[in-house]
Amino acid sequence: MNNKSTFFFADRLFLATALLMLIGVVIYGSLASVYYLAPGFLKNYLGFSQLRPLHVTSVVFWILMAASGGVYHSFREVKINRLIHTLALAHYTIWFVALVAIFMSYYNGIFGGREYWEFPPKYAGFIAAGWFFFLVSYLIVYRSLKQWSVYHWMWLTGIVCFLFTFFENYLWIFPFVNRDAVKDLTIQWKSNGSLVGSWNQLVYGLAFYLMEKISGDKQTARSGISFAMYFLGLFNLMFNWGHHIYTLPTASYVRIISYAVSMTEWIIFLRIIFLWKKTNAVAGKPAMRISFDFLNSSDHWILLNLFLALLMSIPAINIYTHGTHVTVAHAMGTTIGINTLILLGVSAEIMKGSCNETNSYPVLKRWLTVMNISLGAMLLSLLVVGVLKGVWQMNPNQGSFQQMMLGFRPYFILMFCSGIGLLVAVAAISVVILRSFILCYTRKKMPGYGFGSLMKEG
Amino acid sequence: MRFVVKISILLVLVCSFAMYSVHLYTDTKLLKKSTRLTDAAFEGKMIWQQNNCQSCHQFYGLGGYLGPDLTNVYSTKDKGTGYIGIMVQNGSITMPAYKMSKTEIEKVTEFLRCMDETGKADPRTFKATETGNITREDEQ
Repeated sequence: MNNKSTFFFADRLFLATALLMLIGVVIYGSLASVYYLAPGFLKNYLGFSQLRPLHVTSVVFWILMAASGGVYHSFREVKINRLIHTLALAHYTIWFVALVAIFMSYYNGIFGGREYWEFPPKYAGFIAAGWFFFLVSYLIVYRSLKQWSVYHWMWLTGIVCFLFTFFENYLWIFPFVNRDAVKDLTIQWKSNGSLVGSWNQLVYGLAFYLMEKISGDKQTARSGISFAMYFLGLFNLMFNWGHHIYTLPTASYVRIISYAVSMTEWIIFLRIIFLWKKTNAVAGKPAMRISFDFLNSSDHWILLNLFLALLMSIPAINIYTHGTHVTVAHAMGTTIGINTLILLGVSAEIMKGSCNETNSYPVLKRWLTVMNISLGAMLLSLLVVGVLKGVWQMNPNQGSFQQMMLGFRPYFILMFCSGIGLLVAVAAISVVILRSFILCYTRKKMPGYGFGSLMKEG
Repeated sequence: MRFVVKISILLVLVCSFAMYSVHLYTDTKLLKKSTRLTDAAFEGKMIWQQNNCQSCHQFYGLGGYLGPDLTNVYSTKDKGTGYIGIMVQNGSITMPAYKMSKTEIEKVTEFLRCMDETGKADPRTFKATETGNITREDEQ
């Protein structure tokens, strides 16, 4: 046990808060889905224009806070001192205050009205300041590490790119952007596309880190092929965002560059298939099963969602899927099936490593199965609705929007029911992990190292 | 992979990204035609944002999915100014009634008029090419 690290609790604070946000995600998401079945539902009390930002903000901060918690946790293996602890707590405090203010503003119907960042711009400074502390602490901790693995690069990329895209997202407050409707949309989706890429760098970096701990193989994360894949991912983060705006009347080079760059992701797709058997072979480590189960599940969703993303990145197909629920299916598939599963795997591993908790494995495994089945059903309903809407959009004699939506009712029922399945499963998993964190503190069972103690068991 | 190689690749990527970003911010030929908002339309856009209209509605397929795409609602047959005003003022089963003043409704309408002028969002106005790319009607 490292005495220096025993006072450091910011990582668990971030993870515990992130898990509460995750419970918020599924509650707000389920309430919002009722609007598709009962249009007037809660209209005058908690409108859809309030529920959607509550849901989206919860998703964004679940991912960002859990990823931050995972990276802060990795600091324990390198260096923890008072300064790092103070910076991490400052990051947490600023974000916590900002989040309370943001949620209050949504409940009061006060919005900024931009995709992903639907809160008033005055709160953006708090988010940026907290993230800046994160960047400073990361640089202080890892500058002393001589050889960086690929996940160290990915984390730094994710942190820096997030800050850049966040600032870029607020260029709309300046007249040279906000006075031009199409330029505003172009820059907004440039930054939104790269923003998702930047948090993916953080999350996939954590997946790499976790796999290294599970397998004990330190070479893979330092191999040339891993770095080649990292650079390919970064290349896409920077230049493939245009597939969000193929239909926007911008210059055609924006579309051509994005189309060409997006197609390089076939390399990643084919590599995943090629390595499939090899990845599954790591399963023979009983002490690590639950986190491996989370990662293994996410692998399946990665394959499905990457294939969907590749198809949607072909402009000729994109005109059918754009603006339909196929896009929603892709967004849900990546945030729940990939990001959430990886981050739950990280949370479960930290729980097990920090608290020596093993009793909850069968429960977690059971709820993970429910979560996967529910997600599958939800994606199916969204894909069917998306394809039908795509056909409607192309129909020369299309009927009214309301008639079309009414025709989708059976699929919306399936979407709602699968959403309830997700709500129950995700909430149960979050509660089990949160309970373990709390028990860990009340019993004072804190060995200090999460992943470190795991390695000893393995 | 050697450190110097990694740093070189990273520098090339970062410099290319920075140049591309600056080019997009400043390119006056980025757009097919001027899509600059009038003063009233800009104020309408702020009203649009303050009411978080994008949570349900879309422009060019970007935004929420509960309501219809409004890029060309201004010029759609049987819709236009009157329809916009009635919908904003009275709402529908799904949409709440926004009790806006006449001036506010005029500004939102002007914003939607300017959005309409930027181009056609209807996917039927695109044509696929042999390479899998698409062209707009106004590009041909």
